[in-house]
Amino acid sequence: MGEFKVHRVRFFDYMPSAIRSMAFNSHTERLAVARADGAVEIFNFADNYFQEKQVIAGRDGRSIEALCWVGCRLFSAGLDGEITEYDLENLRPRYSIEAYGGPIWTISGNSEGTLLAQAGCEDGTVKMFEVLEDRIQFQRNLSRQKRIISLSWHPSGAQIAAGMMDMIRIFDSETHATHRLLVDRGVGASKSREVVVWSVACLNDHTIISGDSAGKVQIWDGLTGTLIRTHLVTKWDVLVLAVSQWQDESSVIAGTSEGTIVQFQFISSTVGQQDKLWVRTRTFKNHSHDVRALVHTDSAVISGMDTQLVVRPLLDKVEKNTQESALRKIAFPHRNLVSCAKKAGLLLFQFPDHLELWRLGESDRNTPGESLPVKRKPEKLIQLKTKLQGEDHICCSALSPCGSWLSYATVAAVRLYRLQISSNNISIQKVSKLPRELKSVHQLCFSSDSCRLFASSSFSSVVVVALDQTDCKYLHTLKHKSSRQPIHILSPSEDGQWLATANTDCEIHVFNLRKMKLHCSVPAYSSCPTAVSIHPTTGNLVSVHADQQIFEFSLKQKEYSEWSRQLQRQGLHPLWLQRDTPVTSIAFNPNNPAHIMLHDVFMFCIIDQSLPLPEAKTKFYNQMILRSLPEPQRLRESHAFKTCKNFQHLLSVNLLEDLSLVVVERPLVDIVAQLPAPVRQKKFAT
Amino acid sequence: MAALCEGYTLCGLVPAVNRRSSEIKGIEEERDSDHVIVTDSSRSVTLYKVSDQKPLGSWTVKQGQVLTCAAVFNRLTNEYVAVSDNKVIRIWKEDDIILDKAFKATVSVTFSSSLFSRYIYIYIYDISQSFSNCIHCQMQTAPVEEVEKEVQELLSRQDPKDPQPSLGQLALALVSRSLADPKFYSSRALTQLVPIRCLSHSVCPDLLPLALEKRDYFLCQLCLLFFHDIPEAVTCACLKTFISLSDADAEKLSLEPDSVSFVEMLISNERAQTGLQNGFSPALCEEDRTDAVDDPKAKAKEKQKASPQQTCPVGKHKAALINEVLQTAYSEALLLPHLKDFSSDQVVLFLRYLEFLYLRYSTDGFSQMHGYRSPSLNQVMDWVCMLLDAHFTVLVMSPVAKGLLLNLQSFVRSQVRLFSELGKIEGSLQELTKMKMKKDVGQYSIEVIELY
Repeated sequence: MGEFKVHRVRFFDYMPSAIRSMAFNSHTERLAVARADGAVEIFNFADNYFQEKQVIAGRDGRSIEALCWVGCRLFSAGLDGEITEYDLENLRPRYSIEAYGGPIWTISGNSEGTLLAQAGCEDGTVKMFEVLEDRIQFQRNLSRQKRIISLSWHPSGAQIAAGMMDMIRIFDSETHATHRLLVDRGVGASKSREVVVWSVACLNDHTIISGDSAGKVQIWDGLTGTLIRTHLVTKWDVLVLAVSQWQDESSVIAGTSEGTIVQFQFISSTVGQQDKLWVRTRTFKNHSHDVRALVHTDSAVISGMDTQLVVRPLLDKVEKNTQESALRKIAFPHRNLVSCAKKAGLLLFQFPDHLELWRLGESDRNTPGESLPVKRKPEKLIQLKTKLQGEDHICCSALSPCGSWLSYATVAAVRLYRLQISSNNISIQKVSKLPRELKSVHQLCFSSDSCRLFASSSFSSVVVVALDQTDCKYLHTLKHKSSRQPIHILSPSEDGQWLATANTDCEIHVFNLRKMKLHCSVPAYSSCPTAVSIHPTTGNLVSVHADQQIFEFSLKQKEYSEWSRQLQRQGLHPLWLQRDTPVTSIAFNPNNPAHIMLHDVFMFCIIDQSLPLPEAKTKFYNQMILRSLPEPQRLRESHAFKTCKNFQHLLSVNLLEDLSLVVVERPLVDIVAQLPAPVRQKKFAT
Repeated sequence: MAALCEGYTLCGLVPAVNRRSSEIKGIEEERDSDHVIVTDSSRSVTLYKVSDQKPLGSWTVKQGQVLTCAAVFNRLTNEYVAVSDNKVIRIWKEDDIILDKAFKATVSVTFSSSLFSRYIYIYIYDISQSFSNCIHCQMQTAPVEEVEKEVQELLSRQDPKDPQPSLGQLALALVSRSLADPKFYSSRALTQLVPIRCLSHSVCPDLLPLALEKRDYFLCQLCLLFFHDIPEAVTCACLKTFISLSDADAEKLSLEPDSVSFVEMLISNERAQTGLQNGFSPALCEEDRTDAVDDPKAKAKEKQKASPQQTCPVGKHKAALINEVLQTAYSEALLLPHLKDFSSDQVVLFLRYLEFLYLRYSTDGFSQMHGYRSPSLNQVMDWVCMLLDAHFTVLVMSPVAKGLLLNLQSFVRSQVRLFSELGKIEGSLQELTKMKMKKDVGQYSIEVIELY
């Protein structure tokens, strides 16, 4: 099969930002996640938890405290005192309005989707906004209180419960009457400290559940205002509560600053009895750090902190040992932060506020052995800062294959630089005049000859720009007339004839770049494409989807290839389908047209189309076995999927022009090592 | 630069009836320069807002008492401190309405009116003994709510790093009153006092038995956790009570959260558990049993009855309480006689629980996976040994215990086999240390891989 020289890169100090807030839309099964740097992402839980959108990159100083779905519309609010609605089709804020109440801690919509309640912090009012078709409009203030930390609407919309210092206040949104529930402080020394009601949940039967800084989860009767039960769950803070989103509201989970999640269920304490109580049932510990964001769907607990998203199925609702019962941790973004100039041996790393350009090292190829001596070390050539503090963060970036162009975009602007790199001289020059069509960009890509720049832009369009030594000229805007969703993949063919695009409506369109018009659309498939690439010699388009399916589509015949049909007939190996991270790039080996190279976070794989597909009972991961066999027997035992797990936590895998591989790893332990220390946990006898 | 402005009158002085002249005992700044407290020579302290020239609050000692020093304000605690009749310290807050109901303590040292706030606190420290005596007197008569309030107040004043030994005396007083007066019992006050590290079983030997008698199992748990000198007889009494508790009753208890979390994790992992690891599987266990039971019918029956103890035989609160006992210090010789008093049902249930712990610990290395305080595998094994020692004949005779013992035997045997295998592996692995270790990957390397 073959030997590969591999540049194993671990110097990309990628650091994901902590998860601050989450909102789950149970109708569309979309999870919106806000990170500490202000970035908002959307995961599609109906499609293998695929991160289909990075709605907006972060910005220095933007802090989102709360997210909220109103129907299919997404709102956020934060310490800057503004409420923002997002344009989910064009991946940008639709508008922001100042709420005039100081920093906002929490935001919540009523179940009809007509009103949005938002709590100001410094001024302590609950502000009601009416949700109109194209905006929201201030309606009125509920009476002024102390600082409001948490809010919850009663499903009928008639009451709102607000958590504050030392109390919970219940507003009747019709009569404006209020009553309050006093929350006990901690005992002993913490008695003198105010207790913060971090989270409150208002259930259909008027039960109110609160979680506070004294470590308590309390159950209240919201009609009479009486405390029904107190569960002390931690010595630290109960930071967040989430109620099961479906029908019965019979389960609540609480996240603590110790990283534990505690579940309570509304069940009868003895079998056969009618009267039900809130009983503490389970404790999970998936996090080393605070659990500040939680979502409770009918079958899973989703929590976020220490930068990872964790999906933990509740085992009583699903079969054991199936894929659905597996714990999933989503640690890396489902898109590329690394670009590779494969002709020049350069790597571009994308950080929120800067870019790093590196030149790979070198070795004498002739030395035998597993690890080659490094003759020339890798070198950081350029660190490019986006100008000032308070600027928007970088949402996408690209490096041309020849290494002489570099481009990046923020939500507001696009930048293009010309690079000249020789062995002892580096120069970088900003291209000052860019075509005005180049705006609102969320994906960038250069053609293989580095003469074109493709940018996915508003309304599912692609702007094509021509580059030469001195000039940057607008050529055309490509658009499929019925597409609306943003394009997340741009993939030009090696010969410059085709450009394949994929959007989050699962559509793949192929444009003819010579004629600047649509060539064909690949038949729609239900799962979103996670990687798309066009074969340099056969002209076949290969796509891999969030559900791990692989398709090969002939651009000449405009139909699926015979190999693709056979793969669909036979089915993929169960172990391939059980992987839980998406394939994020596809490459081809110019020396062997039958080879397709793919990777996810935990492996890279070469599919040899000339070999038989593995059957369900075949041993899928068979590299170790093949290695031990004599040559003729090895061929008999081989199957098409050659998987290499030597490298883990992969951010990217690229094939250079000299056919050596560049793998960029980011070990999770390195990320964890950079996180701030969790709350101090007292160990016994210390 | 300060500017001298025109003066105005903040308050007039009412001449005291029995005195020749009125005078002010002192004026002290309160929370800021706009607030002052004025102590007059008779009986009152008044808080003024200077800019408004308005009194915000006033407190007066009873007729017949006299304030003997100017009241001062402690900004750290937002409390006022004053001394009356040269011997009574009074501490109150702005929202206390009646001075006599606020904190007061009679001291043997005489105060003079030259006192400052920082000094007052030093005195309180010195005179803690007499001050607590005074509290004790109150403790003997006051109703439960008041006692609890006093204890709360007292604890909030404590330096947690350096608790006062007098608190032990206080606990003693509460316990003796509870013993004398069956209607009096304050769980809240006692549960707050136990974690302060000035108590031990020797200081207050009646406390834990009292808690047991009052069925205050949370307090029992705290005592087991914080006292390191509990006699074996008492430990066994606790254990016996815990084992005999009904699970329904136990689940209603409120217990120390970490101990419950630990059991929950143990049980939830048990649910997630599928195949066994670490050299043990039910199949192996059955295979091993063939020599013990010869009759095939009996064997089948036995198999059915004696599945390995993978589900927790007791509820989680009960388990949390038993775990607390497992972690106490004891001397085997002193414990054994008391352990012999257990009924066979109690022994079987306890052994089943211990077996459950042993299996859980051995099958997934659970004890290393969590940060909670929990019994160690060694502690569990020691209790198994003691229990078998104390009740071996009873267990062998009991038909209920037979399956249990057989399981235990086969599991122990599989473990012994595993460890002998491990011994062999260790030998081979030692060779590894002689080999050159693979170089750390570092930030960058160029490697050659081969795919087949």
